[in-house]
Amino acid sequence: MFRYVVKRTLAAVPLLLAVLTVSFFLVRLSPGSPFQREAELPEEVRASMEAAYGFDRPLPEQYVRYIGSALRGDFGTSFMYKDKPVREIIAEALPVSARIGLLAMGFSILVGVALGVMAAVKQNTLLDYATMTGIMAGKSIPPMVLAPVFVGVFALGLGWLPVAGWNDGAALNLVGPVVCLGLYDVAAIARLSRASLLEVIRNRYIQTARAKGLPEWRVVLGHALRESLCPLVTYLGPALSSILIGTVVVEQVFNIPGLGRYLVAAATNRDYTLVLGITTVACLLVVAFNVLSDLALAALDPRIRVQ
Amino acid sequence: MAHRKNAFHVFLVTLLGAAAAPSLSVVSGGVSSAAWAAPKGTVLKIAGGKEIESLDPILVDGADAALVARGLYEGLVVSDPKTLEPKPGLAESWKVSADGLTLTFKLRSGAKWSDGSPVTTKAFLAGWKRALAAENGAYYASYFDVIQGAENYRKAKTAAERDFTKVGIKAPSESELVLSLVQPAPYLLDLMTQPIFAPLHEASFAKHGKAFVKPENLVVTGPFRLAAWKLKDKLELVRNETYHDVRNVKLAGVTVFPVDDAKTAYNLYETGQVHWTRRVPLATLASLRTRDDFHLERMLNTVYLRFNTTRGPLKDARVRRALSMAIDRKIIADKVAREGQEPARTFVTPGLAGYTSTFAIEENVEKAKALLAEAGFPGGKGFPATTALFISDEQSKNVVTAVSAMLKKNLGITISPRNLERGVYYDALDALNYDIARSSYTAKFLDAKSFLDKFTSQNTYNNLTGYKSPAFDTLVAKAEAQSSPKERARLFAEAEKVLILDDAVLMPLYFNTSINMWKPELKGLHTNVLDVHPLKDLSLESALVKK
Repeated sequence: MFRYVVKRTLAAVPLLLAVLTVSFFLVRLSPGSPFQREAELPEEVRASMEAAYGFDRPLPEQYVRYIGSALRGDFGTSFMYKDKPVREIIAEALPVSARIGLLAMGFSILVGVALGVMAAVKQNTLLDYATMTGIMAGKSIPPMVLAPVFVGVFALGLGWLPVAGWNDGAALNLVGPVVCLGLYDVAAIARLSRASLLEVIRNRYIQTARAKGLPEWRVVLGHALRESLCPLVTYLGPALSSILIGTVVVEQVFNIPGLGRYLVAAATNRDYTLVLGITTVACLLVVAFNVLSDLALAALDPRIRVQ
Repeated sequence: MAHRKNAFHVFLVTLLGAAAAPSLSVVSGGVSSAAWAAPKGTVLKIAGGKEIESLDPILVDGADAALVARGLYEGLVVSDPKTLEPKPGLAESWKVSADGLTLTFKLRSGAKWSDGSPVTTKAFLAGWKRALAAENGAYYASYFDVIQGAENYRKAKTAAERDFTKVGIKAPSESELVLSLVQPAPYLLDLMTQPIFAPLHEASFAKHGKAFVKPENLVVTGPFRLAAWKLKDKLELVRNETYHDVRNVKLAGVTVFPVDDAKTAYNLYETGQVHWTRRVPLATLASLRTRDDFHLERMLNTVYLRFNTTRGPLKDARVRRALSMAIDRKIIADKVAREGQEPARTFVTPGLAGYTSTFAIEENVEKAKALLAEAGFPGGKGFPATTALFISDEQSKNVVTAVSAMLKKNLGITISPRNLERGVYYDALDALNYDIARSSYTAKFLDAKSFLDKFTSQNTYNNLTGYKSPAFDTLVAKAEAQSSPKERARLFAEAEKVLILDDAVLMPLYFNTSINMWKPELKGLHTNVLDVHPLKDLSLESALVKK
């Protein structure tokens, strides 16, 4: 397993280089510059800034210098937030996105698996139909609609929760973002769990377990559930990395200092260094979660060997 | 088999642990990384606008950054919160020579930095020299241009040309500062309230370099110090106990929450999480107008359409005048923009003390049609396809669409609104690759120069219209050289008439407003045309009552 992890990690290096290269040229070749504003910079200031950031050098030379720094973990200073190195911005924002993303995913898994198991066990009953209809309705409401409604009801209406803000990650401030983010994946997880469990409980070893007189809850939870989680684990890898970076709307509505808001602002303002820094982190997260997903799969299913 | 079961159990525990682990730190409440903890009690909480980009005084840009920066950095002069008149700051007094070309400032004795060291004129020389050095990227370095030698210094291409001793900023002693000007500048004192004119704590800058603005390093002269700054989360200020007038600083601290979304800012205010919001959602405006805590004020900001005078039919001033006369600005302000704006028939905003525009654009469709016909487009026939650019936002889209509809109806010409992403929009303006573009301008200081010198032929990086008029350039230059305020105002008014009425380079639409809502217990806050609010003068009444 250690060799597998090392192998996958080394394989991530060319992937990272490819992502950085494409991103670098995409941002640099797009129209606009980080020094553009409605009231323009004096020409000599713009020229000095461009020289200071190396923009007066040929693009390939800029690329080589940038990649060299990036591989040393130095993404430079943000063009927008001029007092902050990109590394510092990411170090502050990533834990925030990670906390909300992991909690949201945990919420999705707990609720989604529970609903999926319930629907599978009570297949073709009213409970099954009601559950599936309910979660599909939930899936149809994207976070950008759900979040303001959630705020309207639970914060402004009932006054149970704060309207917005991070407040150093206080529990009440997490409820809204976690639920609004997590509900969206509940549907996918519930459907996957239901379909997978329905397939697994038809296996002979499940029939054997029942024949041995085990109570149904032990048959389902103790024997069938484990194998049925395999497709879910495959889904979770990419889902987790996208939930960590793609939470812009929820961060905006709840005013959370996460990575998603930075990425959008950086792209709009041509903050090259911040865009590339966040892109690198996103790439690393995708690789990491995919590796973890594979390892988890191997742990769940003894028939799978990591090679 | 047992080890497979264990592996599964380990997996489940790991998964649950990964979900629960973040919440454990939630229980512990998280830890603030403040350099100094903000005291409890009289802390003002503000829902600001977009995140501040920099607290380096030479890079401060935008109203939200200026609000905080004016609390941290006090320069020679500060603004009166009601009238915006310049008042003594770190300078206890100043003298202006009879010809208006020499300003002499006397520093307040006993003025200290937040680390207890004395403030001297050396700090001002260091700060202003740093602002003028082009490699430091100060957006507003041109503010110093009225000082002798400053423009040459900032534009110098070689080290030899760059000689600060040739700049008209001298410190004959540690408490006296003398400025020698190129021409009289009655607006200079007002301009010097801006953060770019703040002194620099040289020891801190020498030790930390650009990191001198971090909370743990920043040494300030203002009524507040920087306690903590977490991007997109909050910025915390605490009272600076070494401030020369600390007795009159009633707030123990200020917390600013950067809030991108107007609805979120409003919700924070309504639920009492903040005392003051500077943004409200457009949809709720009508219902808020009657409330006592709603404050609307005209700003020195004009929203206008900019014409590219170098191509197509818009090269002809008659066409531009026709377009400008053929719209109803009252409908645009009242029914389209809908934030309490006033229709703009001049470019310089009314309310600028000592200045009155001498004209108003006449909205007359028949005369506009006649002008257009004279220019060769009777009834709009033959008028080529023309686009009007705007940066993606709802209000800009609505305004440009409304103007296009009016021009279609009144003149029979087709102007297609075109929404561009920000970077692409600025590229188009830079390259003069546009026909019409929606723009807005906020005056930075209380003088018509702030509005008008943008459009001289020399000011290519702000002009962005291709407009070159010797008559306009001459009027602006004469006005700037005037020492008599009355004559200065008269000449600027003439220049404005040339720019807007005769040559119609810009089509003013409306004057923008500032919107603020604050709780009744917040005292000392006043609206004004620059939307400048010194934090020093604010207090929370209920907190005082509790004492």
